[in-house]
Amino acid sequence: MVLYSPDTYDSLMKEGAEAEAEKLGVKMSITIPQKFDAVLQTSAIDALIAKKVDGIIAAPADGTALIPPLERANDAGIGVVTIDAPIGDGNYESGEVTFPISLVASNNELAGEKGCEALIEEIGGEGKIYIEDVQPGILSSSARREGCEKVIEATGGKVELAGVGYDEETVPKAQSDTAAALQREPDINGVFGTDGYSSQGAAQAVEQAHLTGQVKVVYFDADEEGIELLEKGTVSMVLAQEPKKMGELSVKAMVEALEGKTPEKKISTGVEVITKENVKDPKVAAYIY
Amino acid sequence: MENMTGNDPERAPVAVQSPPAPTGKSSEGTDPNRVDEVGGGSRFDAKSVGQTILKGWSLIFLAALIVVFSITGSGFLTLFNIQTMLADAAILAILALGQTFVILGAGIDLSAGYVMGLASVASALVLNHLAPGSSIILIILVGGGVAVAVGATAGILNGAVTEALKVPPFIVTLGMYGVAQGVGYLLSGGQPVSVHQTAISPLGNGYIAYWFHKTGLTVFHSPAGVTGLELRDVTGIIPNLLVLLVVLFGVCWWVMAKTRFGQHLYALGGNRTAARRAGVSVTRVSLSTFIICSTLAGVAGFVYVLRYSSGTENSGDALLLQAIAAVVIGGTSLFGGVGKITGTAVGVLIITVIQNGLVIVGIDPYWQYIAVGLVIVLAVVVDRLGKKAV
Repeated sequence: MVLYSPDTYDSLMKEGAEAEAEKLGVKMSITIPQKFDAVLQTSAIDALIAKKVDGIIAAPADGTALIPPLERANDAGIGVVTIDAPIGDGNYESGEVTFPISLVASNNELAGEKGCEALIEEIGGEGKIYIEDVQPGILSSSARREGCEKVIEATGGKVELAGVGYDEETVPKAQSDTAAALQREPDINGVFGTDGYSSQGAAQAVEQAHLTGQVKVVYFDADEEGIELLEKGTVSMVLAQEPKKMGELSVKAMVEALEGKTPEKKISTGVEVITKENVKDPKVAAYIY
Repeated sequence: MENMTGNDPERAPVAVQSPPAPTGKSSEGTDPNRVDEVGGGSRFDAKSVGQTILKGWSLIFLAALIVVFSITGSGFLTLFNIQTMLADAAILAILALGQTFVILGAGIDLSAGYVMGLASVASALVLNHLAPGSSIILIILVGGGVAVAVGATAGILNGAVTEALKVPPFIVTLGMYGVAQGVGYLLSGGQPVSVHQTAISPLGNGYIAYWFHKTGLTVFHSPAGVTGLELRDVTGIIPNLLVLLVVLFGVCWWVMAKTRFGQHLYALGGNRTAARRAGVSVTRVSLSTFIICSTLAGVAGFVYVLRYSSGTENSGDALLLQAIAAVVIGGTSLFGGVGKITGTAVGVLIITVIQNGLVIVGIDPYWQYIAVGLVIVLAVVVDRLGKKAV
């Protein structure tokens, strides 16, 4: 298994995958490159091909750049499952790339739509929304941004997009981006963060501008920080993914395929909107990581 | 920098000695090991044996790594692994070659990673404007040409600001880091630029020759009509990128060890003031190192496009520090004047072998970070011990 870079989200995918591998009695090793980078992932994948493993589960840092190494794996008779994000256009049935066994991921565009719909409702159906995104080119967070943009567009001008910032996976950059946006356009009343870092930075900027409550924040990823901010009231809602479940399902799909079965080409995990009201609900609490 | 190295009496002999050295005995004149001989005299005792070991430690360490991984990792010592490892290391190696020039001249180039990314984006965009299915020659000329031009431009700017305005290279190249990053994102519109040229991937991922038991040896392309399970029995021989790498390495080695420019570079890095007094055009030499480094970053960007059929702004970000680490592990002093291109090659191999080997052995990912970190510090410590021994 080759993951992105060391953070909570990755360690949860790792945890889920390890648990499932133990349950199914398969041997698995995991590589997490030091940085989110296609070149580092490629050298790990090539090493696994040389090792002649049976299957590789990869969380692709770049949907185009990871095609050649994973194709090499496939040519060598190694099963390929992608987790969290796809390679190619993501359609493994009839799209650009069809050799992977399965894609196990959140439905990210739907997640973006769901989050922004809730945000628009929260701000009373009109106003200006600012989006803090991670880095251009990451398919998962870009899909969330696009989902959100789609919902904004569907309001027919009642809600405007105030701009998009890219935090390059650092909280301080997300914070300064959002602070600058709030400064520039004081009428922003909603902020959408597309992952843990961007949401955290965005929430901090809102808090420091003393706009808590006036500017509603959607926090993507139900990590500890997010839940804390939700309980404090700094953020209005938290969007929870299921990285652990992705880890589990990816191993399950891989083992099924190696046993000769045909798992679904697209395996979607859910996204839950957590608010202050339902955060204590045990059914919802299961989503918190 | 100037003062730091200027006060170092150990380095002075190189600067004074090198510039006037005629081409006849140039190889001796450029050999940085001469410093020690001039400074300490040549005594053959236990001390000098210890010194030899310290000097060759990186090579010994590399050999030890290879032995350990060959025993513990199944599949490590296979033709496939050795070849893909080298091909995967090509981009890092090209960045490290460039960085060696700048660091030898007592500079540093922090922008190389994002200059590489910018070059890859520019090259990918231009390649998409060519007719689909363009010939390999056209792709190399146009795509490679654009990437090299982008790199050279960044290098000229880095060098000019450093030299003309006397701004420390650390700051100048940190500025260029941001500029290249920003321009790259503007050009790419934020998404990786996929290249739709079918000839590209075989060039970046292919081999010079292929062996298949049914068709024998085929040159430059995988045997026709072989698909599915049979692909597993096709053996690639010599990755295309390895050829490029060997050529670049050879050229860099020659420039550093055999040319007047190489001698001047060591003189500049050793003691800038002394080099200037000895008649070296230090400005020109320093400017050249930045141009060489960024141009090679441009080449690395093009290689990225060839290997991944994509131009990505942050493609070189993670590799920059690795490249600097490789140079340092290879024995080049961050203060300039001491180091060799062969050392850099060994440094790149050490980093590559560790990364590959630890994955094959299946060691916990976080231990991999610790291993690489320790090796870098160890490199500098051993380097220091070697100098003290003089």
